[in-house]
Amino acid sequence: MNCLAPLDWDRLLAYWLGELEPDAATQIEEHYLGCGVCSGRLEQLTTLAHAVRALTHRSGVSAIINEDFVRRLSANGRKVREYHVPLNGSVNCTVTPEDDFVVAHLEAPLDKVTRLDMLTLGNDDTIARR
Amino acid sequence: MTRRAEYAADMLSPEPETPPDDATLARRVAAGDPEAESELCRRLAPRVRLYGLRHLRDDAAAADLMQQVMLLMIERLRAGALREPEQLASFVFGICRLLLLDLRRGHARRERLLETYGEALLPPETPAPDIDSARLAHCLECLPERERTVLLLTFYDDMPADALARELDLSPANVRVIRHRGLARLRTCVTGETE
Repeated sequence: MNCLAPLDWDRLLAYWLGELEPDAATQIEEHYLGCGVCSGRLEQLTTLAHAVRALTHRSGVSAIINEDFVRRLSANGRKVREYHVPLNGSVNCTVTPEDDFVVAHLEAPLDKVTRLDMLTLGNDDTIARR
Repeated sequence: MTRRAEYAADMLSPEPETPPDDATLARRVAAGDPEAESELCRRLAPRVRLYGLRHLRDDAAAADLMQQVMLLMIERLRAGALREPEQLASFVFGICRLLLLDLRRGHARRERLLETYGEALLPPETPAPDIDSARLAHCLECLPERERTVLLLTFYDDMPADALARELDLSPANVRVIRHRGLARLRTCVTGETE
């Protein structure tokens, strides 16, 4: 199974996300419908996207996210528990099996800040830098 | 076995058979070969399912489209409707577009085809390959923060770069660069493949 002009991953992802003009999307479709290599790549990409989505639903990953995303999670029926941590403060939080996501809002004056590093303390006292 | 005997044995052993290409299979379908029909459906069904998923964003609807396309494709190939088998991909693409429109209009072409051909031509279910979620979680955690955030937001809602750029107050080009790096790192970590 060979392909003389394989579609690259960025182009396939752009196609999948609907970023391409209709003519470009049509070209890609005609190509992968006849190409085992590129349809295989697209399959890998969609499988990865699906797995990331599933992992996010299971709260299997932590990340810095934005307010819009938190609102979409709630709109999708996910139970989101939110805590607001004041400047130089701390919050005792509870996580229950019913929670889908736990979101911490960190309050800090960030005006004119161009770079922000965050340190997280793991269960085993290891410090991770973000 | 001596090296000379090994060489002779190699020379005498039959050439490994290369599988027929799609055009050859299409010709054989037109000639009434049921095995070619099965093989062609096995190859093309997952590709058509992807087309359906891209346009319909729904597993069940994509599976429905896939079945209808396979049935109509075989019907037309049997009838000799494809004059140039090398153009099979364009032929299938045309059927995909036609049936996608039908599906959106709610037509019931599938029932007529199923009545004619029964379930015999329906391609087997093709479950998507699984990814080890523990490994994926580890790989996501290893990404730089910005790449993780961009990939998470991209994949969660299939969000294009323009929309994501507005949410994150970045330029679309910047989102694409971060996405490109993140995807390459994630794929390498999850699959071990590099490109």
